[in-house]
Amino acid sequence: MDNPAFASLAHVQVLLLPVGSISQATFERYAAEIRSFESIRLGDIPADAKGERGESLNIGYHYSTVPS
Amino acid sequence: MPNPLSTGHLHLNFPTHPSSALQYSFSLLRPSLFPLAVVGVASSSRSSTMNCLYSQFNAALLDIFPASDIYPLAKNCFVFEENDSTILDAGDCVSGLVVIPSVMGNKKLYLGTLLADLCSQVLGEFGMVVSERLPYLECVY
Repeated sequence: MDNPAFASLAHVQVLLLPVGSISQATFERYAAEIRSFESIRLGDIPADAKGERGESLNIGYHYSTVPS
Repeated sequence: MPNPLSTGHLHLNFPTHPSSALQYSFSLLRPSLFPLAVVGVASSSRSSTMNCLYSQFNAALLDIFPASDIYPLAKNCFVFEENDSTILDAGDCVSGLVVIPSVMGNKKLYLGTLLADLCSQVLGEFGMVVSERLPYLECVY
């Protein structure tokens, strides 16, 4: 059984989908190129092109439990 | 959006199989179970046009994700140009498809930029989901 990657629940899943008449070998080759990006630096992520949509990330609560 | 000076990383995982349809009822409670974004991978060929590839990409998405589902939050289709094919005219550009030339010297950098744009869309849309569905989640808890 494979061990899950560290903090795997926090990983952003990006589904790779073959489109059109692409052979499996070609798809795997390009998928490997894309998979070489295991992480993206937060500083490299551009501001949302749709304006202030990202601001809504500031809305919400953090629910915590503090057992003793 | 992350602060431009943020030092952290967004970790990515690239499955090639979608989540089980049985899990859709957990879509708000366990977003980690679902692909938040989809990248179509296509290879250019003489028999394909951009519009044709775009139609096939959208049809595949509709097959996998129910129309009522909130995921994927972002999508893009990468069309990798093969060495021996020249299908793509400049006027044949379709929004939602990106052509990656075979002779591009800094292809890795370009791919990284495209993925960073995709992550930006995911974070922006995820904020919208949180703000729209938060009252519902508060009722659940």
